[in-house]
Amino acid sequence: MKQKELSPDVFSKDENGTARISSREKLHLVREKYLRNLPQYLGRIENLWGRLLEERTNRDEMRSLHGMLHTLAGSAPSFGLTEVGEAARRAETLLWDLLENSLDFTQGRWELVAASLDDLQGTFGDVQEEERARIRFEESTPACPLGLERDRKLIFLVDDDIDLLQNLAVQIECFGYHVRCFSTLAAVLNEVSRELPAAIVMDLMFPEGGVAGAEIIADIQRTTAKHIPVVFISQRHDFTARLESVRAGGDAYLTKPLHISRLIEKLDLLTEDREADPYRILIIDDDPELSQFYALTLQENGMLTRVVNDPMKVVEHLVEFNPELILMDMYMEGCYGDELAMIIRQMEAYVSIPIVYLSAETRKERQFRAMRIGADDFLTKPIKPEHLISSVTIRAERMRIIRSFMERDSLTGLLNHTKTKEQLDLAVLRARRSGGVMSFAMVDIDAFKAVNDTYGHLAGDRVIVILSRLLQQRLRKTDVVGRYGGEEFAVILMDSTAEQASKVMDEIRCSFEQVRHESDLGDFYVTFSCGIASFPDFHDPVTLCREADKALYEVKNNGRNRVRIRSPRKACKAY
Amino acid sequence: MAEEKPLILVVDDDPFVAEMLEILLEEEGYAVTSAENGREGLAAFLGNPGTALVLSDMNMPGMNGLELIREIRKVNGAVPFLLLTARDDESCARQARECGVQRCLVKDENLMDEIGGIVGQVLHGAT
Repeated sequence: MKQKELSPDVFSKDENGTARISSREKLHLVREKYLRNLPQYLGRIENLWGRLLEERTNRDEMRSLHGMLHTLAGSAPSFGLTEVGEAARRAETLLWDLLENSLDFTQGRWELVAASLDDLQGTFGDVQEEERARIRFEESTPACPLGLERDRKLIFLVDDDIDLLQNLAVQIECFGYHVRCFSTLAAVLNEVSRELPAAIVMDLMFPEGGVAGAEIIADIQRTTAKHIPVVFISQRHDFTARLESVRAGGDAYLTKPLHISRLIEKLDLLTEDREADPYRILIIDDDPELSQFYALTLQENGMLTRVVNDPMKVVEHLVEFNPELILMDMYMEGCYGDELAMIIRQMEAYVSIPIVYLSAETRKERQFRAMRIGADDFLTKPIKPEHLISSVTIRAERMRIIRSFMERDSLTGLLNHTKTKEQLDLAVLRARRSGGVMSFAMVDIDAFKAVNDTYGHLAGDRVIVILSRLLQQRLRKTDVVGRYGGEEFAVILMDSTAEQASKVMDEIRCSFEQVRHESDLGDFYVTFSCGIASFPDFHDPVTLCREADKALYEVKNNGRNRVRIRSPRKACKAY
Repeated sequence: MAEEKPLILVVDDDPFVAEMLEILLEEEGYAVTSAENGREGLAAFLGNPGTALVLSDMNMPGMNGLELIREIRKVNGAVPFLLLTARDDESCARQARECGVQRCLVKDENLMDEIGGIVGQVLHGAT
């Protein structure tokens, strides 16, 4: 007999995430095991039948056969194999009549039983064929075609309030994290010794004490080699509680009731892969050895460099390398640095690129002249490597920030309308060149005005931030997400057919509708509608935009909260 | 702290059905003990006097579901008892009700979807 432990924590037994998800997985596994065992079971039925045919009066064997069929009739439908169950039931009933009603074992009755058993084997054959087809289908379509390819980061959620635990787990999972829940400190301590999460969300107060959560975290941080990001959640607003959490190695402290958007923001920040792209520095100097020295110095500090020794060739390198900063000698053969700077500044794309001069020129007046033309700094040779590094880093860094202000929406950090359109142009060009596919999706939050009117603009803004995070989390790094207008978003899905894009966007739609939004005036749920148009169904960016927009408005006019593909046939008809 | 979860005793000689029921009921937040036949089921029940509900198959070798409830009723007249049957059989259902079975459930393709709700209803109604 199996005795299940009365475990105090609801979900800790579960290895894969919340109870909800993993139960489904577990059920799936049981069903698979059942299907795997079924051929053997049917084989035993066949054997019994074979023996019965030789010794038709053996009532014991007949009873065993009846028992097996009866069990099958009971279990098969429970696992969704209705037809197998019905066939087993028919065979069982026939045998039952023979056994209990003492009917004569006429040849005709035997044949009926035989036929019903054949029938049973046949239905199982159909099931196997279906299963094989399903597996083939699942193998041929990538398991997570687009959005979910990104590894879900594992979060340990610890709170002794079971309702909160369950609720919060579902909410966090909507944002692409994997959540494992613990209702006791002992359980999480035990789990941490086996596997480290990307972050821990920890309640502060437990039956063990007012800051027991912090004490456990301090223990965990002491025993693990690497710092684990920790977000404390607590009802306590007092300074002592905050201090304890900081001392224990907490990275953030949020008070209950929790704003899910704030929690996700922290988790995103804390678990982010901090491998930022290296700065790209173009070095223009006609002295090959000196320029090589600069290049090596910058490379050692994680920057990407390209050296140009012939100033006349700078334009082609600019376009190809697309630098973020130019390091330039002041006096070169054939062309002065300030002349070159003017040429570069006259090209629209490089109007704002930082230019740093390197020169032996010590006369202030010459330096100022160079600066007037648009240089950002003037470093005098010989320069110490650390000065070179800090000067270049500071300027490149600042340039990235300024550029992000110009290109990104301030509320969400997503690309703005103009930049999104630029990216769409590029994406279409790329797809056209490579003969590939791409999809453009327009997303519009449903009844957003009502959200603003009912719950206030702050709540409305939070909805927008949450959707933008969800889109970024669930899409690939190569996909482009832009804020197209107030409550409108645009998504460019590279290498995706309309169907693939629709599948991913629909998954995101399902997640979004489950997110509970909090406001001072009560909690609420929001949905979005989405229209998709694809290349090469539609050939150019303008048409893609227009058709995606039409699909979106078809959804808006037909009940909202759905994803719709604009098919080229339909578009033709519309004209 | 978490309240102690209600304990459910599952009795079924088909290990697959038993496992499926365990998973579904654990998901609903119950603790589950399972037994492979009526005799084991009775032992499990006597060993866990706090059992909140018994969910048993009808046809099992040794002691069937009806025999099990008769034994259980000798010591406990109140614990809710749900009987699983392979088919919708009115005479069996009548017999079961006479023995004190709350509900007869047919093992069909809806069982997986419905079991959690039914157990919840029965437990809620019983308390």
